[in-house]
Amino acid sequence: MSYLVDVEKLRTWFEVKRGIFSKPYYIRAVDEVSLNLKRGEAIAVVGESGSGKTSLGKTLVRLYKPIGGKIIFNGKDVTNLEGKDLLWYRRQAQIIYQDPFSSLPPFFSIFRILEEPLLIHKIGNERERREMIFEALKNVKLTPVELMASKYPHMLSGGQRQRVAIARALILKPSFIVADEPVSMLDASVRIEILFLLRELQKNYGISFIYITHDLATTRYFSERIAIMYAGKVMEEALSDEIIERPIHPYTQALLRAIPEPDPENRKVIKEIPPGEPPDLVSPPSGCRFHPRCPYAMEICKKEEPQLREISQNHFVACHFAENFLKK
Amino acid sequence: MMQVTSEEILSGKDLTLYYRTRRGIVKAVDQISFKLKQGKTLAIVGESGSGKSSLANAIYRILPKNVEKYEGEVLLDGVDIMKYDEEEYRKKVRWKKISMVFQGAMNSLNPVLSIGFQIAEPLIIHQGMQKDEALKKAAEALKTVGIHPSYINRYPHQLSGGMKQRIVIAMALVLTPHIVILDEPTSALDVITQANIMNLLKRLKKELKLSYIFITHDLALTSELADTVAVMYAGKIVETSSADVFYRNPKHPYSKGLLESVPALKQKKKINFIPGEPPDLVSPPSGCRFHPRCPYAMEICKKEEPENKEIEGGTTISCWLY
Ligand SMILES: Nc1ncnc2c1ncn2[C@@H]1O[C@H](COP(=O)(O)OP(=O)(O)OP(=O)(O)O)[C@@H](O)[C@H]1O
Ligand SMILES: Nc1ncnc2c1ncn2[C@@H]1O[C@H](COP(=O)(O)OP(=O)(O)O)[C@@H](O)[C@H]1O
Ligand code: SF4
Ligand code: SF4
Ligand SMILES: [Mg+2]
Ligand SMILES: [Mg+2]
Repeated sequence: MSYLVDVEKLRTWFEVKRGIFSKPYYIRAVDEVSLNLKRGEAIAVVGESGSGKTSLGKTLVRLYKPIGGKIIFNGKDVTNLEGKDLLWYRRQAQIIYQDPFSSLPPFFSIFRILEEPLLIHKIGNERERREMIFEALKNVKLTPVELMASKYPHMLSGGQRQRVAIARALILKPSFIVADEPVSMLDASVRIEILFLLRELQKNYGISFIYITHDLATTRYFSERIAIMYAGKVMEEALSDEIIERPIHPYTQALLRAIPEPDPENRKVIKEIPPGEPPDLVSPPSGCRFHPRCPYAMEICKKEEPQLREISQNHFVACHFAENFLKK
Repeated sequence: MMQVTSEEILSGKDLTLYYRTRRGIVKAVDQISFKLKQGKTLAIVGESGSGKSSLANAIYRILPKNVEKYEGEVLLDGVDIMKYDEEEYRKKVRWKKISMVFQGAMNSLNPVLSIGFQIAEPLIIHQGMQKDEALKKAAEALKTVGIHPSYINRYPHQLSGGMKQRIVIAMALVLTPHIVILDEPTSALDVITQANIMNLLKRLKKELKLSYIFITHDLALTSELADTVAVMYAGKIVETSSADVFYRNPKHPYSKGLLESVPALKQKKKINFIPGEPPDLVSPPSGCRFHPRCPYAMEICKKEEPENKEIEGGTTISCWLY
């Protein structure tokens, strides 16, 4: 099968220097992550804060350079591209950020914000650019387009700003988009509308899409597959319904139990939830990174790191005892 | 007059808090009425900017300098505490009867003071307690929230997010209040830690016979604690229903829209969104403040503001449909 994006054992570590004389240490934000994405497919990357989602997203669009592993885009190795080649890749691969308040330059009009990527990539003449900008605004339903184009970011609501960010990502007609928690800063009633819009555009243009989120509940509606990240690693990956209906990894199971559903019976029960919190990524636990919190941990879990492997068709799990949890 | 029943521990009537700003007057809390029953949880839900924290601050009387208007009635055990002056309020109410976990408080712990001292400080300063006794109280409060008392000598940076939130809850409990106001107590935490904190809050409620006012924008999370749900929109409470009624059969069009926008994980339900965005509280829409977004809006909704009325099932609602 040919993938648009094929990621193998990707590693993004951040070097932290304490002083001139002491040895640096590393934050292992992304540690041997493998993922792949077909054309027009959406995959959700779900994880808690600090699990490495943003680092992964930024590495995939090559805002960060990984220290190991490979990113193959459309058959081409883009892991270490630089200069003009990197500029080419950045046109194909776009990122939408979490914070619509800081991601748009405040002194640019919306028109200028959308023109910027076209100028950087030397696309079109003035008239063509104008048409493309209005087209992009229409796509994200910011109308009347002339009026919206003349505004400045501070004149827009959070939802409208995120629409501008989406228009900016789409204007270069990319085939791959990473959306990093695109709605987590927005009002509850506005979130779903923006997610619907993203999904519609992604399908219409056949874009391969990575939806990064900490909110597992929305993923089923907006992606074909889900990858669960914990402490810089993918713990489980499968079709969206499969993960939610038949979770295998003990971490995924705990996560699913922890997520509240709107149900008035909830107040009457105490949930069974593993104690503790995710590890820091400077010195993550040996073996399985979830072992200090896992109710099923055995000796081997402390020593050997479980690899992500296919447990049932298209269902990948990184746990030594995955088969046992499958039967249940 | 509102009926006072013995089991009603706290109630508000026409509580109002306006702010003065350069842009105009912000009507953050606009003639709000509510009731909290002994041992129960009243949840205040609403989107960002709807006035939830302002309502909490109005009850707890933590007010900024730019207050334009602050009035109404707050009955604590039948006594109107709005009539108290600041001194009386501090001596009789704050911390002892009502305490509060502030939104974002875990991120404003003082980095250079030990945990124990931070819990003990208000006792020493505001309650005139001896240092030793205050520290002893602090250690007890830590134990109550599931943290080993030896943590009294640690500093905030040595603690994880979940532990900091426990500390902040311990601070609120240190003088064994009857009512605790929880303003978004878990919004900065990840889901598993959040679930652990919710477990803790449920346990404390039972063991210490607490009554909660629980403020959140997360309707799914609300159901973890709420006995009664009050929905705020643009500075007003538009519906107050028992949790059972609210989740199974919400009445107000805004409540319905909000619930429809909550994704469900375990059932495949359809989700929907409310078109438009919440209004600016400097110049909210005329009539019913929700009318520009309401699918049922009628002529009268644009002109006249609907009154609060009680309907079947004990629900209080302000909407012209009822
Ligand atoms: N000190 C203040 N001066 C002026 N306006 C204020 C002040 N505090 C809050 N506001 C405004 O009052 C309105 C209600 O704010 P409030 O913080 O009570 O909302 P909230 O429902 O708690 O929101 P969130 O969910 O974001 O915490 C908002 O429009 C806010 O900008
Ligand atoms: N530019 C950076 N320099 C150093 N550390 C970083 C940087 N970006 C992220 N980190 C660290 O990497 C880890 C993963 O962070 P991040 O990728 O932002 O996770 P998430 O998006 O899942 O919250 C965290 O410990 C974070 O502090
Ligand atoms: S490998 Fe061991 S510790 Fe890790 S999730 Fe599986 S059982 Fe738990
Ligand atoms: S009063 Fe009118 S506009 Fe307001 S919620 Fe009811 S039907 Fe809708
Ligand atoms: Mg992030
Ligand atoms: Mg608030």
